[in-house]
Amino acid sequence: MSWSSGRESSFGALFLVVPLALSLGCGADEPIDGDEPVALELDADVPLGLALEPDDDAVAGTFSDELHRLRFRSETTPEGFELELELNGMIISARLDEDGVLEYDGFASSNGEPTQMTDDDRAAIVALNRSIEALGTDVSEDLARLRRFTSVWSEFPDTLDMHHQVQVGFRGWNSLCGQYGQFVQGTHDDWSYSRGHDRTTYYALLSMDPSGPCSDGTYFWNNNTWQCFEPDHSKNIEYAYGSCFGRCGAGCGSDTQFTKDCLDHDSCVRFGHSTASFWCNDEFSSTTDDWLFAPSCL
Amino acid sequence: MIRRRVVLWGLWVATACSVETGSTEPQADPAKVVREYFAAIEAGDCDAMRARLGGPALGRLDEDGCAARLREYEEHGASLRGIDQVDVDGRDADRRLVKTRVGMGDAERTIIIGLRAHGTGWRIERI
Repeated sequence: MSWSSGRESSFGALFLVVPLALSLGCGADEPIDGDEPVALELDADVPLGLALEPDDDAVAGTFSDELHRLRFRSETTPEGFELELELNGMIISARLDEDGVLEYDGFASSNGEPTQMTDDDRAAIVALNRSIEALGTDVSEDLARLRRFTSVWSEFPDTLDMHHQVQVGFRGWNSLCGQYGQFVQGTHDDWSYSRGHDRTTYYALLSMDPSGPCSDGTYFWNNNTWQCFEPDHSKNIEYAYGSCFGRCGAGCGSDTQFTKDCLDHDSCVRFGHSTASFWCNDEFSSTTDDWLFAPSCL
Repeated sequence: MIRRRVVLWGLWVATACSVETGSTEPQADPAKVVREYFAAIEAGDCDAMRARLGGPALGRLDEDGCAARLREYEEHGASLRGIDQVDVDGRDADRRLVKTRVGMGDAERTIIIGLRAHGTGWRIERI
């Protein structure tokens, strides 16, 4: 099945309501031809929980809880894959084409104009990710890809442009599977301290150790004891572990890709910077191919 | 491809609906607010910073404390290099997205700063 035919079938109602309402509301009587997008009415007929419509080379469906409603599709194509989420009036897409270009985009579903990731968007993506995680690991590759994607994008910063491309093989990734279970140096460059600076660099245990009770879920060796807290560029901190440090994606989950870029992103957002802030944009951008290509470590 | 189709459709709708919308868009320039915010950081003027923030950005400032935030910017030496573009947020006509170049030394990054209409002006909500 091609993506376009799949989109017309499963995302067939994708752009129905808003443009139709606009055209009716302004009195336009131009015909709506079949190639024009049709808006999705996410407030209607989206059942609570996760609803899947799998077929041979794609999975589509919806997710809804008390706070969020999402529609998604993940498809394997001859060239690579296409993936799409709709939530909160926004469409997020990812596509790997025949030239090895990985392209991401995020835009308003009603008009295609740019928009910005918000806390509520991340919360909706987290909710979808958790519902997929609840299915266990014995799922199709299309659903597993969606699970990994939603885990990584649940940490998408507010201030990063959602439209960008990665030339596969250009940026690359560095798997840390060989160092799983060991303390590995993580670092970040936040403009005042360079990569490798004592205030941005410390060792983290690459493990599936769960989150602790503090906001970032990470324990740091401080005053001869492990403490769950978030230090702010402290040169006295040298070791950390917890919340699946170094795993690609937010916190813990069933996927076990550990890479240098994902380690460095964790080292940034857990050491004095929030996920939403712009200080860690570079580190996040570097992970945007790791989730797709890095091998699983377990 | 999806985006292009949606954009074309949006343009068609905009053309078809070329009527007065009765918009209450503030007269002030959102880019000016961004410039003033960075000037306030440079001046270490906490009150001026606060006056240009709203929503989540103001909440985070209150959470961290303005002095701590000023120190963070000072330590990081972030400065405004330029503003490239201002777009309407496609999901909310009362929001603007300001594509801003921020730098320190030789390094320069482009970030999208989100502002929301606030009375006759704009407040930075996402930075």
